[in-house]
Amino acid sequence: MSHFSRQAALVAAIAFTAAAAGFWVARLMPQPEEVAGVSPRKPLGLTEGLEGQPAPAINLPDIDGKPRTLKDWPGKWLLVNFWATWCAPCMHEIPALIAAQTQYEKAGLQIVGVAMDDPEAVRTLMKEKGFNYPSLVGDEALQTVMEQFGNTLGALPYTVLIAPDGVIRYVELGGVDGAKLDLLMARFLPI
Amino acid sequence: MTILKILALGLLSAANVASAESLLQPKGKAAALLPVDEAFQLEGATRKGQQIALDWTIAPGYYLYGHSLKVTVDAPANAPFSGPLLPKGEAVKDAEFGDVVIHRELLQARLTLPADALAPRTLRVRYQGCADIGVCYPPQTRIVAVK
Repeated sequence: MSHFSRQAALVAAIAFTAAAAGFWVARLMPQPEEVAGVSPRKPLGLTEGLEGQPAPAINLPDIDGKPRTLKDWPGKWLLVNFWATWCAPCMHEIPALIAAQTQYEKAGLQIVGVAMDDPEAVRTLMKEKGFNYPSLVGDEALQTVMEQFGNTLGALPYTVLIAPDGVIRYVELGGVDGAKLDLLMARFLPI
Repeated sequence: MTILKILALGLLSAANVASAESLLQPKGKAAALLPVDEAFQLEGATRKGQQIALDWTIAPGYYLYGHSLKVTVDAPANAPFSGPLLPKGEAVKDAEFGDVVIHRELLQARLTLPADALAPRTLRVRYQGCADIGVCYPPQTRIVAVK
């Protein structure tokens, strides 16, 4: 074996070992979402296996009281974001959602908010934040809709990506940021 | 390309794979979350003289907002009281909500009844809280009997 080949083999072996070590370290390290003192004794919160299932129907008014369903946006990748004005993590992710709507609209993205809140509070906040996507509203009975979408705890924020064929592709409990949205769009949208 | 550059690219690639994996891992939060009544256990309302104490046990990693706690009398209607008076709590500066007070572990809200007034038999209690992992529960309303 030539000197160069031995060197290349050594580099490949080191790189492979490093990648394998990194993978297993990442797998073994505590996940950041785990909370000290709270045992994950029950797999609660989301219905497993929701991805690949048809999205349930949503029939809710928008902030002007007009009845809307998800069929109002045919052919779109729908990012349904359950939120509320009383939910700080929901507020924190709004700028990233607005940016994603701008950036990925031509690729077929349509974000639809679903607010568990008072319509007037939602209307005021949407104006204040400069929403570029619509939001539907519902009261605490919206919990049933979230349960149909797999969120059995009713915790917010909660985001569901639905393909143009009406099939759920991804669900996320907790806030999303720009990096995660970019990754989601790159993975699923035709960009 | 030097050995070091090749090695650095290999490590960067491995790091990117791990990073992308962690970005698209949505289920962990749910697995760690408690149902709302386990996260915020409303223990009940206890009357001693002219005071009523409402007690919560809050699970580690969860908190209740002081400003979201509302108490009204359910029965008999219009029974007067003052409060709720809350402990000092933990002052937090939230990017959206400004200065807020949150409560962890144990929370006792105290109501004071006027002398010779009709005492409430049941209270309507509304409260709302979140988990440190970055999710919030919808406002909860409970009817609580005063013992």
